[in-house]
Amino acid sequence: MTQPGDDEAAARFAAIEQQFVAGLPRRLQEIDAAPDAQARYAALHRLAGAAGAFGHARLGELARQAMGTDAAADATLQVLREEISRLVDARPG
Amino acid sequence: MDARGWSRCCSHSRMNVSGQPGVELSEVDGLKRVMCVEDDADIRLVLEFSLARLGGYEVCVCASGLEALERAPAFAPELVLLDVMMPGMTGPQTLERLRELPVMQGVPVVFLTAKAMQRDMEDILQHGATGVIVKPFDPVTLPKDILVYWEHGRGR
Repeated sequence: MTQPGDDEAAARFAAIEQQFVAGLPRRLQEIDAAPDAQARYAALHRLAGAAGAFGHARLGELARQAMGTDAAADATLQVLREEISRLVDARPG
Repeated sequence: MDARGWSRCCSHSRMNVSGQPGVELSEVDGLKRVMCVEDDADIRLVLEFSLARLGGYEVCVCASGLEALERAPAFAPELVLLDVMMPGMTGPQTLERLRELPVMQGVPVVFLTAKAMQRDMEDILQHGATGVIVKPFDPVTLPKDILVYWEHGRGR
């Protein structure tokens, strides 16, 4: 059963989610430009937390895996870039 | 979660979050004012949407520990959600300073932290927090989830 105001809530959440997706390239830039491992970890950490709250589980998991400092983490970062491109390209309008 | 997915969730959440159709949690359970301290702007928006729009709470959203310290006396929160990893003043450092405020005596504080840091939870709780909510949180269930901490933590 649909409750009064549900459409408005859905539209509001969709707008917030689109704002998050639109900001993904900026987040990626922040990760790439991080001056040290700690700053890179912090940027990935924020992305992981935010992605999950918006239901982007794969994006969040990739960010989490990329938090490491080994070669596997670097490889994951490339996959993360591709996932961000996919999400940005899939934006409506 | 796309807009259609959210719409499906939301159609149920208005009924299930409070357990009573059309009745907001704040009206049922007594918790009114929730302060959120989170440095990520997108997460702040989700917190506000979840707790104010879905939960019906009065919400004060702060971007830093310093802002929380400035706004807590006037807002008088009944529960605080506090991010652990923030630039400048960290979550535990913010909690220590908040506890010095008269208005914060006995107010439950719940840390928000990422799954990757779960191993550090015991250490986090030693800083005097009531509990820990692991990010990513579910914006639909969060308004109800925080009630557990409020009921168990208030007045301590």
